[in-house]
Amino acid sequence: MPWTDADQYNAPELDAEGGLAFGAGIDLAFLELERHKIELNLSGTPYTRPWLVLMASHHPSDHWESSAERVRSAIQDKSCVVFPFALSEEARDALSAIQIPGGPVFMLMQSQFLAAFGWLSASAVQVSSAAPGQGALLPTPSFEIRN
Amino acid sequence: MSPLHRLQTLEADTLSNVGVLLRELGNLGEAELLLTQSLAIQETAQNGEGVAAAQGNLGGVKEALGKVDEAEGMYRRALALFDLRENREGKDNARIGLGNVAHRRGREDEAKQFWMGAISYFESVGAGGSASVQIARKNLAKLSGEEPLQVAYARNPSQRTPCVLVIDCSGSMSGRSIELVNAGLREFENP
Repeated sequence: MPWTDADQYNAPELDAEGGLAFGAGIDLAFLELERHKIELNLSGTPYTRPWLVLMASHHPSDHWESSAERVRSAIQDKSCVVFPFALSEEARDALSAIQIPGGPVFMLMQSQFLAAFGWLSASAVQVSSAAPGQGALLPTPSFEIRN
Repeated sequence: MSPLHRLQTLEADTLSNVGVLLRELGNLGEAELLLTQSLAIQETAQNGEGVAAAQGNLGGVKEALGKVDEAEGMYRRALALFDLRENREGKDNARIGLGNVAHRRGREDEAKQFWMGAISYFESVGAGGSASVQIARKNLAKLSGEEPLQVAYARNPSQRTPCVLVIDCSGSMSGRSIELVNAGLREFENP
């Protein structure tokens, strides 16, 4: 879906079928982020470090290694914040390869999906309202985090 | 609906359609005449929706004729009627018109308010591409001294946190998992 402001956001309705083209998804996300940052810069709108939320239920089925490398360097450059959510052990292994060493991979049970999205939403509100240049403390998640 | 009422509505609609067509063709004088007749019939028939639509259309013609005060009156009455009937589209069309007349009168802040509200409504229902919305967007951009794409930033220049979600929609997510993801995505609607 295209970029929208939070107050204009309408949730999309996702369908699930086929393979997991996770590498392609990550590449598209970076492309869109770059485009969006240009727009924000042109208009002089300040922005915090962008967030990349990844959610996988199993091992990606496309060539995702170079995309994983891109995510790792973005985290290291501090050019984005990544929240990897794994829905299975297998996905956790894949996402661990995308995350920098020691970075968290959140294991989620189906029953924790809503809590996780709620936490992301609440955290986004906190971060976007923090004074520019100042870090924000994220709310404590109500779901379990296992590194 | 009685046969007479039905006939009146039909006549009013026909006059209105021809009036709008004449406006498009640039024959504003005759368009004004027909739309005025259409409005009178709708008022007699006490057809609230028809009255509001006729006022909105007539407002457009009067605006084009430079009768700015009359146009404003029409738009204001249309807005009030559409508001009563909870017709968002009609209301926001009237707001675009009100933005135009405020702009003509040099009340730029008021014009901005009307346009921004209407544009965000039409964008939210996927109708951001219609001609009147595009014109309003361009005018707004001109007022703000910015590019059309930047209207949202002009409306709200506060700090953004860009957030992209890459979500697994493969077959293994089908059923309860994707349902819960969709419910989760709705959590962002009311942070």
